[in-house]
Amino acid sequence: MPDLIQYLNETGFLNLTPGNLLLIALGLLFIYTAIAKKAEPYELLPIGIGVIIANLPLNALTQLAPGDPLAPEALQGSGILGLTFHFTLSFWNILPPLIFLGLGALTDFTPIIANPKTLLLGGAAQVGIFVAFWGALAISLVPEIGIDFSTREAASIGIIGGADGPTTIFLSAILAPDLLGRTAVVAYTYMAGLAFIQPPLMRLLTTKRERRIVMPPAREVSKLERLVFPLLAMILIILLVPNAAPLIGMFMLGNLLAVSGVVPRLSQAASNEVINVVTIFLMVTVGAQLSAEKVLQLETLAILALGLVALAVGTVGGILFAKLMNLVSKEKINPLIGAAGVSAVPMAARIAHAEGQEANPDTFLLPHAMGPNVAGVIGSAVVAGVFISLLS
Amino acid sequence: MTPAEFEEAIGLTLFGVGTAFAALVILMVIVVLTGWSLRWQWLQRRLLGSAAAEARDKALAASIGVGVALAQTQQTEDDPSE
Repeated sequence: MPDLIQYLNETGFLNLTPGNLLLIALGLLFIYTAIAKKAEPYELLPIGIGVIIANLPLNALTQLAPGDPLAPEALQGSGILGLTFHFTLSFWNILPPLIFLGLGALTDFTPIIANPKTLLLGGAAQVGIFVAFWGALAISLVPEIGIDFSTREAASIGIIGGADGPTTIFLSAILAPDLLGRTAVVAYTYMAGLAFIQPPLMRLLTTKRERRIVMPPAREVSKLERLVFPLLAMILIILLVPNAAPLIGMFMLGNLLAVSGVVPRLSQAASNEVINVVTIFLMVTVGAQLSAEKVLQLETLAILALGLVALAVGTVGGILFAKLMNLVSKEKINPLIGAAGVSAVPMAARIAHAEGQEANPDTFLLPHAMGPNVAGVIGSAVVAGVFISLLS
Repeated sequence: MTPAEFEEAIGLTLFGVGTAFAALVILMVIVVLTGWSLRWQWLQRRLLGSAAAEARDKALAASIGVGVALAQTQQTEDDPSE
């Protein structure tokens, strides 16, 4: 009988809290959104499963042996998700650069090479990062709110405005590991909801005439140009911001594998097998960071609010900069493509395209919006590198 | 926030914005220059190619002309009515 009571005490049922139940419901909501709405399914589905696992008390999957997980006495004391978090994000930051390798292989730089001024839109849309960064610091100035974000935490909240999940995870793992689960999930959640966040801002900030602007087809880009771009960009950016190397170096390596055309098996592996396997472990592990005791805090609400501000301001920054470029440039661009500068590849570019089509069915913005979209990935990785250089 | 933290945040913002823009602007300039350079080479090849072709066409036309003239001369010599 005492054994049975002891066993019952060690089951999850007796240790389940209302907070756990709430988070399990959130995990189910993510899974529902991924399956029924098909919103960011590759991220939200495994994250949802991770959230549920994290809130099943006493589970051995997320455990990490206290102290040194490699010590002899810690053998068999850790679960796969606990070890994955510790060794591939917290101790060594491996998984986000591997995702960038795959993303590079899937990325086409042709729109940027054909229309290089769209690179500027990718820079302008990063303004959201800094507004959210300052927002997080400003919240800490009001003691009544009861939240105190350090500069490092503010930076990892701000990077949500980069709308780039792997960059957010990469930076948070270095600067604020305690916030990692929350910043990453907020970033992916808002990326899934980008179709609701951006269009109202696009319509508010542009006239119908501007949205109707038809951009001429981009020029043809030679293979040599597509080969030279990733090499030059990698050398330049790593020389300028050495701490951006893990992301930019892997991104450009993946791209070079694809455009070279001589290593189809490697390119195929990077854009399929590598990115798929890494996505499973990265997303489930990130989701598993969302235990009730970590999430149900006032800080989480602040991160949610600041993340939304970051993406909204980034969208505004991109659109306004595109309008500014139209004032000084003879060749007009459709300002909607500025909103794609927030990254969220290719979702933001598709939204710009859809809005343009709604205003004028003759506009075909997708190839043009991919320019700022990809530039946004580079821009947010550069900003992450700067944050790491100055804060770590 | 202490004055030192405030200063750090200001520096971070200016440096972050500046670096992101600097990287993208330099990249833009490099892309433009590379594009021009490659297009210039392409243009050069085209120009050289068309000049060579023009010379070849002229030579061909001249040789045909010579051939036609020769043939006509031959025809005239062979024709007893003239």
